[in-house]
Amino acid sequence: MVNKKGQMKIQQTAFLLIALTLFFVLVGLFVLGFGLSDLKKDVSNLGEKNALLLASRLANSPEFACGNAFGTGMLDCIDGDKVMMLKKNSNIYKNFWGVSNIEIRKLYPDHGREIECTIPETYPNCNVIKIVDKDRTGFSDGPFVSLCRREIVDGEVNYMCELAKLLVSYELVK
Amino acid sequence: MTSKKGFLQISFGWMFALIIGAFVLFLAIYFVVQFTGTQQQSQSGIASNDIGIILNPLETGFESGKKTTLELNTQTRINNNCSEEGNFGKQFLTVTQQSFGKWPDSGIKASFENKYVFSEDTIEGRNFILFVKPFELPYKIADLEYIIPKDKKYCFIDVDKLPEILGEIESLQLDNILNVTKQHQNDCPPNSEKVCFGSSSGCDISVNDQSGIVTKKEGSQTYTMVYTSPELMYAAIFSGPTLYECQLSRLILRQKQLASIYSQEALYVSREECNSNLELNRILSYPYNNPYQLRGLATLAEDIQKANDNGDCSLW
Repeated sequence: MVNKKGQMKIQQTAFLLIALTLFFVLVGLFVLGFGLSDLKKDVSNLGEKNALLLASRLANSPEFACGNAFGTGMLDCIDGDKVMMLKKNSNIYKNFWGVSNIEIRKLYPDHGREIECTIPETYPNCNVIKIVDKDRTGFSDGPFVSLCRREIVDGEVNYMCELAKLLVSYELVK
Repeated sequence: MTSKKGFLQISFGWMFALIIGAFVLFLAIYFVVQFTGTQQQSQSGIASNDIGIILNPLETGFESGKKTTLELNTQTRINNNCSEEGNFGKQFLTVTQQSFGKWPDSGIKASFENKYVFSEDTIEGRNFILFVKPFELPYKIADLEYIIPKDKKYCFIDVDKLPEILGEIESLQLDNILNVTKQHQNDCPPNSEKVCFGSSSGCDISVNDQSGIVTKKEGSQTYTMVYTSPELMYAAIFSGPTLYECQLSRLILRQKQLASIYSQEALYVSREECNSNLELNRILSYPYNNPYQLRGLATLAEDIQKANDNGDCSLW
C-alpha cells in the first residue's frame, strides 16, 4: 500500500516535470521562431536598402558609365554598347553587386512590346537589357538614366541617347 | 541515531524532482545564453552588411572625392580583410559592438565583391570618418573607400611639398589630419601617427613621392608599399600592408575584367567604322604578381589613355 502511494507520487512528479520541460521547449521554440522571422525581415530590409542605394549610384559605376565617351562628361548616363558587352560577361558579374536583378528598360522612344536586347540579333532595336537575371522576388526600383550608343548616320559617327530606367531588385528572404 | 537518519531522509519524489528540476533549469539557462549569443551574432552580421551598404551612396561620378562620417551609439570594432580568390576577390567586413563593457568573441563577416575598403586591419571607435576617391588606370576601375576612427590623429609633416594632396585634405575637411612643417614637428599631438613627406626623423610613416613608396613601421618591422597615384598613396598610409597588397590585387583583377569589356566594345564599335585603336590586350596580358609591377602598368595605362583621347571613338 505504501509502495503504491509512493509510486503514484513519483508518477505525478514525473508528469509535472515532463509538462514543465515541454512548456519551456515550446516557449523556446516560439521565441526562436519569432527571432528568426525578425532576422529574415532584417535580411530582406538589408537587401532592399542595398538595392535602393546601389540603384542610385550604379549608372556611374565603371561597367555602366558613359564617362567622357560621348563628347562631354555626363552623369547618370549609361553606355549602351558597353553594357551589351557586360551582358555577354554576365556570368562573371552575377554576384558582383549583391542583387538578384539588374536591367535597363528603355522608356522613350516607345517600342510597344517588350523586346530583349541581344547581340547581334536585336540590339539596338530593342527595349530591355537584362544584365543580372536571377529569380526576382523583391521589388525593383531605380533612377531615370540616359542610354547612349554610337550610330553611323550618313557615314559619320553620331551619339544617340534615349530615356531609360535602371531597375535593381533584390532577393526577398521568405 | 534515529534523528540523524530522519535528517538525511529525503523521499525519492523530492530527489527526483530536484535532479530533473536542476536539469530543466540548466537547459533553460543554456538556451537563453545560446539565444543571446545568436542575437549578438545576427546583430553583428547586420551591422557588418550595413556598413558596406551605406558606402553605396558615396560612389563618385565626376567628383574627385567625397566624405561623410559614421556615428554609432556604442563602441564598435571593424575588422577589415580581403581575399583575392574568384573573379574579383572579396572584401570582408566584420563589425562587433561592445555590450556591457565586453566584446563578443566573434562576429559575422559580410562579404562584398564590389567594395575596396582601406583601413587598419582592426579599427575601433564610436565615430568614423569615411572618404572616397575614384581610382583610374587609365579608365575608372573603382572607388576606393577609406575608413579612419575619428579620434585617431594623423600628423602630416611637410605635406605642403605636395600641393595637390594638401589642397585635397583641406577641401575634404579631414579634421583628424593635422598639417605641420618640419620645423614645427613638435606640434604633432602626442598619440598621433607621424606621416613624413620628405626626409625627417621619428616618423611612423614615410612617403617618398618621387619613387612612389610609402614606408611604414609596425613594431620592429618596416614595410614598403608601392603606389602610382594619390589615391593609392592614401590607401597605403591608412591601411595595413597585407590588406593594401590584397586590395591592390583585387583592383588589378577588376581592371582586367574592364579591359576585356572595353576590348569587346572596341571590336563592336569598329563595325560602325568607329576605330578606337586601343591596345587593351596589352593590359590583359600584362603580368601582375607583385606591387612593383604596378609601375609598368601605370606607364602602359598612360599610353592607352593617349590612344583613347586621340582615337575616332573614345570608350571612356
